[in-house]
Amino acid sequence: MRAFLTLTRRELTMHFVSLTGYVVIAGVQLLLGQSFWTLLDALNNKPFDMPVTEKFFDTGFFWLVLLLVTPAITMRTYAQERATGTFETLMTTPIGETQVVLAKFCGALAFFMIAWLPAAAYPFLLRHYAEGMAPVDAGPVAATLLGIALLGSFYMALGCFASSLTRSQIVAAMTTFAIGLGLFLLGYLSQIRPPEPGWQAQLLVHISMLEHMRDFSRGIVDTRHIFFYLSLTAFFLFLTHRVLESRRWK
Amino acid sequence: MRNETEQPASFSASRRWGQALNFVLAVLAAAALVLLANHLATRHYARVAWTDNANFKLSPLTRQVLQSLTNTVRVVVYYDRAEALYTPVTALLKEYSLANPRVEIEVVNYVVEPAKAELIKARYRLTPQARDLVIFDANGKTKVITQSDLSEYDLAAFVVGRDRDIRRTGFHGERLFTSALATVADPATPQAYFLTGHGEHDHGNSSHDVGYGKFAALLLDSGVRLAPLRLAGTNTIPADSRLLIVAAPQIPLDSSEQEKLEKYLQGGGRMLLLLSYNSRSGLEPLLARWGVEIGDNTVIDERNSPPASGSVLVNQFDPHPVVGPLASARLPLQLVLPRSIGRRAGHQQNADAAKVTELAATSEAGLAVRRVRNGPQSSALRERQGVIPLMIAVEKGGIAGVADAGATRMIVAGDSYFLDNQMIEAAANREFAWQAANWLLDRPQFLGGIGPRPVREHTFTITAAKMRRLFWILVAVIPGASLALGLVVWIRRQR
Repeated sequence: MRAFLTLTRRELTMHFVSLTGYVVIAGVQLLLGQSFWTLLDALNNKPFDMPVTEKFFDTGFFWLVLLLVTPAITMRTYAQERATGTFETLMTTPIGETQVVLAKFCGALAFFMIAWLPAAAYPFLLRHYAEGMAPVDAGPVAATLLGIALLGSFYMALGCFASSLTRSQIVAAMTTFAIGLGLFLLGYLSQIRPPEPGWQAQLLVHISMLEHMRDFSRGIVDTRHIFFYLSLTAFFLFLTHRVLESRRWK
Repeated sequence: MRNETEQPASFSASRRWGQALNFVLAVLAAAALVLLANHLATRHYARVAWTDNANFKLSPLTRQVLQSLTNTVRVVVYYDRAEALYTPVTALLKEYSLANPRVEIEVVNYVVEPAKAELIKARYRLTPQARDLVIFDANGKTKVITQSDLSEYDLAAFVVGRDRDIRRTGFHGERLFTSALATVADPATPQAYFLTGHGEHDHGNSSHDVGYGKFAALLLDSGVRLAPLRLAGTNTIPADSRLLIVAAPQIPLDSSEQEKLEKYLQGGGRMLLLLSYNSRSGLEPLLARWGVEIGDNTVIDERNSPPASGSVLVNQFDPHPVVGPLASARLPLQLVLPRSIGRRAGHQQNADAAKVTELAATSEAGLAVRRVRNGPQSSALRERQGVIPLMIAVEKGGIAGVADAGATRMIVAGDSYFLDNQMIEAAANREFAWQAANWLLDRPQFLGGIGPRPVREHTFTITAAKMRRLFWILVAVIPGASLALGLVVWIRRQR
């Protein structure tokens, strides 16, 4: 356990000892802030049918930031270690592969959540500056953070897997972006295709991240969504573990 | 040295193939586990709302109706996506479908899918002008809900010029969808009759204030067939009658009609008797035999009567299934000049006798006033003071929770105007009508009550100066702080 915590701390601090981690956080906050402000500017003084925070997660801005920031965080997890030659040193230490995989994943997820955390202040910031706003309902804010954490854990696991496949950070980032975008677009089909009876439509709704995030931002926590993300996270972490294990074949 | 050469090579081709096969099988097994876990998760799930916003919560009644569904119900949303109600309609129906996958939703956008729209029109025999509908289809029964039924509007603000547009203030989706669902899913269609011929409220009149058209529409919505019934001459109460509604007769029923009514009730009939302050039913002796006492008076409640209105807000309820939900939701009834209706003094509440429950009463400030006419002069006499019962439920021969045609049920209310076209929407009168009808029809799955969901309009105002400040905070201060911290760390590490 101590080795796992030490490794996780090492992974997390790696983001903060260089300028890169701060640049990533600043980039995330810049994109989110600009998107949120654009939405506020568009809705100012106009009646609309859902809370502005809910509307924000229903726009493309949120997804753009999510899909772009994930590769930036995870591309270095294994690829950089392989490129700099520290990977073999790490793997020959008396630490199991499972611990390495989990520590790198937890470190990346913790950094991801830190990068998003300032966005939790947006509803309160809006409440402070806007007139005629209803009090902030803490439930949907908490559910939204839970949704971001679940989405993040899935994308972090996917990114770790992509990074474990190559020694090039660019290739790792592109792979993460491509698979992440593909899965997102698959779920997006349920939005553009009118609902029809049948298992195909049910499957599309089940994997639709837009639908999941819509529920979370309304304050609805559905165990199906939680299972979906946790099972996929576990699956990609398992794949990463197998990839690390495969070095013994060579 | 010899031993080393005898050991098999660690990375032989066959071993590598074996590892690769092992890898593929492990990945396939993990993928199968993920699929199974998700399949199980979709079958056994919970949906919890971490919000006070009731728009995403289905009422207990809707959940009850959805749980009782055994057949597939097909719901066709025949809508233009650009319509304002498209989103709330589909979002609500999605909640229904999530609560029970037997509710299958099909969306047909008649603007972009004309061929499909024609098929729907032909299948449900819709008129060429039909648009923006929600169609419920099951067991060969269909129920069509139009867009105009779904909304409640604030016309007053528009009329006085406060608003330029007519604003939508309420969304009746859940009430209408649940009743439509229950109607098409229930293979039986109960028959109810409105007694006529004595100056009763007209159930076919939806325009006049004292008509019962809206009440009749509510019954039709819950899947009840309606017909008028005259008891004069040789007419009898039909055997298929599941409910008889007697809405404030102005001419007393004659002895032969009373006999037919008595026979009907003794045979397990169900009756909703509404007696206003000015009605003359002549049913007092019959009701006395069932343990009911009808007061010849008018009741006021000094604590709960709006000034100079003649109406009484009633919020003292028994935990009976008819009014229990109103009590738990703290919804009052608004009655108009009610008369007292209570349990007859000395009525035996033993196993063989009819069980009489006083459903609603005034507060302790209730006052029953008897009107005494002395020629052209009239004077009011204080008859009673204190808690005065205003409506009762009578049940005889039934076993709680068991549908039994032999069980007599009756609700007698000391007012009839509270369910007329003008008053049915006031307070929780509509909910009472729904509850009373479904208790009398022995449909426990319909008991609960759903009010309209308020339509919340979100709006905010930020001045130009504050918008500029917000821009700098969001785009410069927050990202800049992170960048500045990064620079400090970087500079310190450079030293």
